[in-house]
Amino acid sequence: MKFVSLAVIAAAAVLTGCAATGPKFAQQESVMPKLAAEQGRVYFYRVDSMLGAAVRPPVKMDGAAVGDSVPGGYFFVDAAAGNHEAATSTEATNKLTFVLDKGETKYVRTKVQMGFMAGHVIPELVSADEAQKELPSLSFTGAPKAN
Amino acid sequence: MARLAIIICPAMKPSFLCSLLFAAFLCGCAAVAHQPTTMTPIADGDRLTLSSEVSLRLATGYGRTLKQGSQWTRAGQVAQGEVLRPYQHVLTVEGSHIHEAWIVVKDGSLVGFYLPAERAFSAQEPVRLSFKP
Repeated sequence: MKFVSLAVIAAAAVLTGCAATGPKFAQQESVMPKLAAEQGRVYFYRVDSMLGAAVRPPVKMDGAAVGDSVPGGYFFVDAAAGNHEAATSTEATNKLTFVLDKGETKYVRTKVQMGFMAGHVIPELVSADEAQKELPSLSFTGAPKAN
Repeated sequence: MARLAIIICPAMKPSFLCSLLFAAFLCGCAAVAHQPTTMTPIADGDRLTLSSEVSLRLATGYGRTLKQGSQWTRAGQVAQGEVLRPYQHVLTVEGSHIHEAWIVVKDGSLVGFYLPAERAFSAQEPVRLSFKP
């Protein structure tokens, strides 16, 4: 019985240790850089969940690593208007293609699905309404940026 | 799936079978089939509201729901029909990957999707839509 309790406490400690830390959305928004005229902004985020918490692959946009998919974390990328591809890879690569207009903000949520040996992390496009309900509880995991 | 059932036979070694299933799992479902198309955009297209909810089953097996009251902006024209872009919501089609999608409507029916990032058309079994201005 003692062993089971200890295992549960240890598991809880490991899992909570996986959640992102950093300024919350409201705090970070107050210091967000202005968007350049020819660009749009893409928020990448992942809600905090114990499912696949240890799986935190890099997020690539147009082939370049732009951050990590971390439970409870978010970051943003300012990019030129046009066609873009977001991708995450674990044992398989999952891609999302979308267009970004000048001045537009898009939201990409990464979610974990069961895999064969490891969880798959799927980038999915979500509406601003949905994202704005989920973002306030998340922590900024991106590098500070100045415009 | 039928193809998979045919190639699995009792003579196969478990390790080979396991590799086969693993490969099938990694490949996931089919890609979203699409063909290049050219959209002629419309500037300041008017907005339409969907009168009733529509459920769709994509060829890849995934489902999508177009909500009652969702708004769509006339975005342009492709050879397959008129392109309506989601207004303040998003639509994607999904197979082995996910693609942003706008709907293509012809003679009052949804006939497919315009994939703006790919500049391509993906056909869909026609589904009747009704809009109010």
